[in-house]
Amino acid sequence: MPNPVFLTRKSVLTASVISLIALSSGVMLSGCPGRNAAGGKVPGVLRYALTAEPTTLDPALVTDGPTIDLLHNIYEGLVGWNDSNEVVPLGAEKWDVSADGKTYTFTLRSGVKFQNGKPVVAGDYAYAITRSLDPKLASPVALNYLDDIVGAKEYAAGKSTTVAGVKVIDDTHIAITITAPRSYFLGKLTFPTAYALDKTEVEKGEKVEGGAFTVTSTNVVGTGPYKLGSYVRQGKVILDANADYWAGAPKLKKIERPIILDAKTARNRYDAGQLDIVTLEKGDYERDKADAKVSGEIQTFGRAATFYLGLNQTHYAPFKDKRVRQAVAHAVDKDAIIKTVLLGINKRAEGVLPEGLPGYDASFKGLAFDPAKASELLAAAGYPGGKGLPPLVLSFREKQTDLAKAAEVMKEQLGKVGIPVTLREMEWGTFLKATDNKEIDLFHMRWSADYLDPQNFLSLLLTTGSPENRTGYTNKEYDAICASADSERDQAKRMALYAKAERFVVDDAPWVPIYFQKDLELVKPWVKGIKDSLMGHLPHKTTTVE
Amino acid sequence: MLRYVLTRLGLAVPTLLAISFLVFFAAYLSPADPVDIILGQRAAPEAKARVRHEWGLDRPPLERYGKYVVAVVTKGDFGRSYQTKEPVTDFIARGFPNTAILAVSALGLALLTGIPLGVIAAVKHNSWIDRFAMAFALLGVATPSFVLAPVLTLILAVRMGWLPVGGFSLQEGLVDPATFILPTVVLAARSSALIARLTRSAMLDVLSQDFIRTARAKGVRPIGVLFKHALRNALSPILTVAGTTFGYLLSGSFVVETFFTIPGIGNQSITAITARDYPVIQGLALLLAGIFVGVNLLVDILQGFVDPRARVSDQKAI
Repeated sequence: MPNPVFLTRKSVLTASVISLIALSSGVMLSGCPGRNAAGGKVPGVLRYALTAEPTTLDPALVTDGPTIDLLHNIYEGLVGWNDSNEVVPLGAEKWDVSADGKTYTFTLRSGVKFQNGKPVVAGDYAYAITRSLDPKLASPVALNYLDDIVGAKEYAAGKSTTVAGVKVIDDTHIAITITAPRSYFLGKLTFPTAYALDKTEVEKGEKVEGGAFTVTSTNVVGTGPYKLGSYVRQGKVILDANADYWAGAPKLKKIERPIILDAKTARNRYDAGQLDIVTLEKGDYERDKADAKVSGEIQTFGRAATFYLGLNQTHYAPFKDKRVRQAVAHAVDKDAIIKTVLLGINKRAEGVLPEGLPGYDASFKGLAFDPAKASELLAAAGYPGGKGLPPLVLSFREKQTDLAKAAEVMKEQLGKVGIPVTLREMEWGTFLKATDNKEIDLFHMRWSADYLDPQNFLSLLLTTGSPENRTGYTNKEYDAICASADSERDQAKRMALYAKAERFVVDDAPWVPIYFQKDLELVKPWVKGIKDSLMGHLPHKTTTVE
Repeated sequence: MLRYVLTRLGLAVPTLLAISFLVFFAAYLSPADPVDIILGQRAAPEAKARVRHEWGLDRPPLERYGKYVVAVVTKGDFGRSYQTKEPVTDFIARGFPNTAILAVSALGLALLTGIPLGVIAAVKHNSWIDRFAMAFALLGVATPSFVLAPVLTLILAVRMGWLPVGGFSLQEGLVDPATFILPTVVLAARSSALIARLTRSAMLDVLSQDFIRTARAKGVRPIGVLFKHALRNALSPILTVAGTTFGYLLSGSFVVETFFTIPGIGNQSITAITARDYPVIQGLALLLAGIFVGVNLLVDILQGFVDPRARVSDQKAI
């Protein structure tokens, strides 16, 4: 169709102008092009993303890392971690342990107040611990951390009306009695299930199905260095400095935690100066390392977590033979996995205990990569070149890039010595249930510490009948070493026993430790004073943004 | 007309029922145990048994589905989130306004840009302006939002620093209106391109009609011919497309809302799916289905009003 000749230059010009106005409306709306919407640092305010919506604001119910990282800035317990990975007094000023090692008597620190101004008394800790165990509240984790306390299990099962082992002596003293001497008990008390709570405030909250009161955004009152300023679901959590904090007000005025699920968006906000800290995605690591400006902002944090292969001898018969298990251990080239999959960031795991954990021995060497030895062991076990081995399935959690890539590499490495492996990626809940039920031959998984003690790895994961023993491994000699270590009160002797247990179990190979977790973050140069433990960033008492 | 509307409404009911059935049983057949989501994997077996009973998860699936439908119909109760335990209706009520305001802005921008672009392309048919406009439109249609969002963000927000990276949230208050711009532009791009292409073809069609030649012969001013006679006649198909586009925009853009961290229903859907929060997924799926059914119904009814032929042919078909 020819151009309509009746259109004048003026009319076309008019139409063009209208279009151009419309097209540029987006830019026009911004008001003044060229302004720095990105901003930059905000002195006194630390901004970093929450990578998921907080699952709860109730310390008795929290289970996930991101939410714990939020809550431990608001609440505080009798004890906590320091940056040397030691338990230190917080709400307590000190504690005494009875001669039999079973009773801990805490003397409360004076001047500790709830964020509503009320002084904290011993009864508040007793209330918080008892409440966490309340069957009506149905805390998913309370027993994991408080089950050593006398009467905790009975109370949680609804068989008693009090927790016998928790006694308030007076306003400034509380005694907690445990069933047997456990040197790691204080580590368990660092978990939110023992954070101080004000009963009056809790009972202003909503009720859960069981009838117990819970903590929501309307009744969050703790004793920590920050108060909950505001919480907009799917939006942002703001924490304001608690000027009355017993150790003095924190150095920051405010912490802003926008909830950003998408890693790329969080990174863009960091690059635009809208966030001060961001998780560094592995895919960006090489590029950022090569970038002169950004490379100085990369920080690496060791974590108390070990990635491993679990060999389930109750489901895959050949694993009952130690030689086959050792063959698997010798066939896995951990360095290759670290180099190719993990970009050299993580450290090879020789043993079960992660670097930095009490009892970690840097000089210890586990079973080395030695494919010839692996073949030899297989042949000695009656499977020369892998002949006769039933098909083996290596399972791992879905949507975890590192796990999937490492599993691919291990499949290839095991195949080279004749161990036939197929891979299976599984939905997390199904995977956990299947490993719990010991229905999986071989699995690649991570164990992240609940508290910083070798018991949380060696005894909890590998002794006979332990609920977290997913390999079905059972060895009386190993169990005996761990039992002695668990109840030993002399720290040096205890660590020596755990070292013995670790050497024993690495050689027996129900587990093949592969590497230790490291977290990468980008931190803006104006952020100083972050303190970190193997459990994660410590509450921001000393952090500054200047 | 009333019969026509009632028939259309009657057809919407089985559609929504079928969708609710499919979504409910897809959730039921999923391998994840809802109790594990409510209490966590490591909860005590006694607590799990109690919660299973309290939430009615120990009842047969058909009974649960029946109760769900009855609660939705009689009380507007879509159940409670497994994760946050809050009513699904509260959840949706919080997210929907963000999605709605984004959809309205995006549709407005799409119409404001698409129609003029299409008009110019038609008027300057086969010229470089036409080719440029259509190339622009083709680019808009062909560029998915998961490409456009990071590219525009990188250029306009990260590099130039003109706009903020994130999106907006009505709950947080409209602190900075500039937070609207990038998400609106990204969401509007595809619709704008579609409207531009449709406007161009509709305008070309109308501009070749006899009544345009008559208007010109009568001495009507060219701008009057273009906007009063041609564009008005070309608007009918454009508005139909705008209606369905609005339905698509209202159903929430998963990518745009997630990328710009806008707490709308698209973002909520992603969160719920990741957390396997089935009551929320069911509620959102029903809402989305309702939006599509509602918008289609509205378009059908409007078409019936605008063009009686549609109404008659539809009645015959029924």
